[in-house]
This record gives sequence, C-alpha cells and structure tokens, in this order.
Amino acid sequence: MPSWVSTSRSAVVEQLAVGTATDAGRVRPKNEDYVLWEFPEDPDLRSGRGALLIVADGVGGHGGGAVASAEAAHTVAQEYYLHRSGEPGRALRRAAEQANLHVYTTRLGHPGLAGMQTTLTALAIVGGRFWVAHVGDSKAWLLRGASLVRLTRDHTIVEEMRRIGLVDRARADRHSHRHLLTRTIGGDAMVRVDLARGAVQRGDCFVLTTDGVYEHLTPEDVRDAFTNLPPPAAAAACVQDANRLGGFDNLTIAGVRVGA
Amino acid sequence: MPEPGEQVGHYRIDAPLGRGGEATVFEGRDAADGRRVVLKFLEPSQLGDVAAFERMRREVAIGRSLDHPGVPRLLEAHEDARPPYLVLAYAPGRSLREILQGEGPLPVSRALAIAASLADVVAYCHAHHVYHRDLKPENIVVGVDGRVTIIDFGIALLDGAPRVTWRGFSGLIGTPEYMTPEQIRGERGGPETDVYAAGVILYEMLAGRPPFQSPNPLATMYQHLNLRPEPLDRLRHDVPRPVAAIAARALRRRPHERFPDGSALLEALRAPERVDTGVLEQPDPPLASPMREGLMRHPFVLLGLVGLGTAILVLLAEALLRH
Repeated sequence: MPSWVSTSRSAVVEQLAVGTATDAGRVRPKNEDYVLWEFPEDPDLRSGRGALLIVADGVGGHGGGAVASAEAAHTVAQEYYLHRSGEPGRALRRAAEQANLHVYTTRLGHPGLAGMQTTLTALAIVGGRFWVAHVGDSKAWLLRGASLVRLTRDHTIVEEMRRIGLVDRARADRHSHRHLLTRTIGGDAMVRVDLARGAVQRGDCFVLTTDGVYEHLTPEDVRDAFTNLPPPAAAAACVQDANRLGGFDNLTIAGVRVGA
Repeated sequence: MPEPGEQVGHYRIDAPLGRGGEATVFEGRDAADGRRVVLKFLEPSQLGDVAAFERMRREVAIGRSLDHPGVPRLLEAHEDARPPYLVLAYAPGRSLREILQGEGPLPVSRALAIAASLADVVAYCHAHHVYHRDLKPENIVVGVDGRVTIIDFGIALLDGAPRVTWRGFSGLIGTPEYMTPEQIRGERGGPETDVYAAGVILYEMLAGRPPFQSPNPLATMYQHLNLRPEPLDRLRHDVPRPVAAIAARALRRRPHERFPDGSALLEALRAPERVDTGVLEQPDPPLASPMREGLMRHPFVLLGLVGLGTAILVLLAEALLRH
C-alpha cells in the first residue's frame, strides 16, 4: 500500500461490497474528513435499517474540523439505528438533524471548537431502496451500468450563483469561492437536510466523496475506477491518483456495490 | 482569541476595531512607549486552513514590500503565535463608512479629493504589483488632513503569487456591493479590479448609495453583471458630466474598457475634463449568461430550439384554425 493512503478498509457483507479510503492529502497538516460504514449484526436492525455509509468533511481550527466530522458521523449512525421503526428516509433525515444540533451545541460549549462545522453525506440501503441525506458539498453518485448519476446538490455560494445563471459550470468548477458553504452541519441550530431516494438494482454502485477528490479527478475518473475495480481497490486508487496530482485537500472516497 | 485589557507581547489590547471571517482586529498600545498600533489576529476557526495562513503570509510579504503614507506599515509579524497576529501602524482618522453614515452624500469637491487620494495610494500599490481587491469604505481611513490610508490587505494579491481558494462558511465572501464582475465570475482580478471598486466608492460618495445594492447578495451580483448604474449627473445635478463619466468608465463591466490602473484613474480625477470618454459611446452589454454562452458554443441547440418553437406555433395555429 502506498505510504500516503493512511486508512483504507474493505468489507464484503452479504450482497454489499464496500471500500473506503481517506487521507490528509499532501498539503493540509491533518485529515479532517471522516468516513463511517455500518452494517449491524442484529438481524432485525439489519432488515429494518440496513447498511449505512457516511462521509463528512470538517472545517474549523484547533482540530475542530476533525471533531465535527467524526461527531456528526457517529451521531447519525447512533440516531439512525436507535429508532428501529418508521421509514428509513425519515429516520436518516432526523438523524442528520440531530447530528447538526449535537455539533452546534458542542461548538457553543467548547470555545476551542468555536468554528467547527462539517459537511455530511449519508447513504442508507435498506432492502431494495436507498436514501441519501445531505448537507454541504460532499457528493453522492449512483453508478448504474455506464451512467453516473449525481444524487446530491452542493450547498455552496457558487452553486447558488450557477443555478441563477451568474456563472456557468466551467467557471463554477474553478471559482475561487467554490468551497464557501451555504449550509453545514453545526453552522446553525437548525439545518435543512436534502433527502434523495430511489430503488436499488443489482450491480448498482454508490460512491460518496468529499470535495477534495474533485480538485484533481473528474467524475468520469471516479466512474472508471469503480467500473473496472472492486470498491476497495477503486477507492484506494482514486486517493492515490488524487495525491499523485497534488493532494491539495483532504481526500475521502467510499463506494458500495450491491449484489457484488 | 485575546480580549481587550489583555497584553500580547509588549502590546496592550484596547478596543476591538472589527471582526471579519478570517481575522479579528483590535486597537492596541505599545506598553513601552505608548504608541498606538493595530493588532490583527487570525480567527481560531481558520487555524489549520492552509489558505488562511497563505493569505496571512501574503499580507506580511505585501506589508514589507510597500512603503507609503497611505499604507499602514507592518511593524511585526508573529506567525508562530497562537493565534498568529500582525502588528500594524495605527492609521488615525475616520473610516469612509463612518463619514458616509454620518454625512450622507458628500460635496463634489470633497468626494473628488478623497477619490484622488485613494487613487494615489492605489497607483502606488499597482506600481509595486500589489492589487488590493477588497476596496470598500470600511477599508478606507480618511485622516484629518483628508489623506486616505487603505487598510486590510488580507485578500490583496501580489503578482505571481499562487492562487488560494476560500474554504469555510459563505459569510467569508463579504459584501458584494464592491465586488467586480470578474470577481463574481471567479476570476482572479488585477489593477482594473481596484479601479472598478474605486468607481463604486466614488459613486457612493456622490450618490449616497452604491450603484448596485439589494437585500439579496446574489441579486446584487446579478446587477453588477447585467444592469447599468444610473448616471451620476442624472441623480445629482451638481455633479459635472466629466466626473460622472469618470465613474461610468471605472464601472464598465469589461476590465479592458476601464482605466487600466490606479495611475490612469488618478490622472483622470485630477483633470476630469481631459478624460477620454470614447468608450462610453460603446454599448456595455450584459455579461453573457451561461445559457447564452452555451448556445453560442452549440449553435445547433439554438437552431433546434428555434425549430421546435416554430413547430409548436404551427401546430397551435392549425388547431385553432380547425376550431
């Protein structure tokens, strides 16, 4: 394994194959991204709540970004699996809202963590359905056959500018303000959580990434990696490629293939 | 973050002067000789952000490369302190924002004098390849002698420096009233960027409001790209047409149609009647929307849309005739 891939893990559980890789990159002093994969042992929980894959990209000084991303991811997992009944999508959204409140109150209570906030993108796969809860500018994709479908919309000022026609896609992708977020976990006491949903087909591959990956790779690069390699190898290869091209930001990528 | 009353190094912290996305600024005093200084601390939330440190280092480099009464001298830089801070010479006077809030639109002669003093400092910076890129009334201090000091070179650019992107919450983007069309479109900006902002400030001093403003920042950005400011001589009859023309040329949407730098702007402000206003005879069309740019790149899409529209009209007409 290349030395710069700090953590990489894989798991094949029932019909899900998952691979994750996260790394500080080659410029930033520490990794403030967080990735979490949960697929409970309990059969009831597994049938009712399924699998959960989360990526989060923290911001804030004194290491607060790392605290925010880890706290948010674990709060979502805890809250999501705590309530076993009800629609998974609603439970996932409520869990993200709880994570927001948790990070917000934590940063208010700890002056050293005053600026911490994080993005959050959480995928739940339950039976033949999926849900994605999303806040910030991390991204979720569905790779189905040769097509790569974006499941999330960036909550950034530049994306808002693009939507009302002030800048086009090409300018937005290299805009100097492209990382300024309009919505975060922990920014305010309440947050609006986007929720995407759909049916799962055998062979589908879901890919979650933090924005650092796209400083160097295109969505097509990511699609090709996950098309040609099993998720663990694809995730590691993407992080390795992004680092080779500069590694300007923290890098996190996680993929889960259904019916692998 | 230190508080007023505390001591940092040999400086006592007095009143807070302002707080931005990346830094908190205090007035302070050198405990040794009582000299007034400005202490600028990097926000703790920005610690660990490489880009924020890069901007601070750039401010230090710029502070060391400039020596002009209109630019506060950098006295000390403590980049390794927690939080890192800069010590700058104190600029006595009132901010232009305070003046505008207290006095409203200024007499033409006073506005021109402040604008010329501003252009003089900007011209010096441009001659040293430094572009401020964040000129606004809050960053301009007018001394009792009427001379201008420009403060906060936090996002200034030194020619040749690497590009750093902003990261964090969108509050960091600041007010869009003084942003230029090229900054809104994500470009880096150069001397013409400061010329545009100086034009906005001249306009505001005379009109009592900036040329474009809205409660919604995105709407203000849209106005910069697509609307034309109301001519100053139409808003105020005592504004001479050549002065209105200077503001209009500084506010042209396309950088190459403005005064090329601070020195050209200064020359215009000193002799408004000699300003070349030929460019104002030319149209200043809105900057093309992405849809129009896309259509220009893909004319077949445009032809297809025209064809589709024609087909719909024909079908509608046929249906109406049958009725």
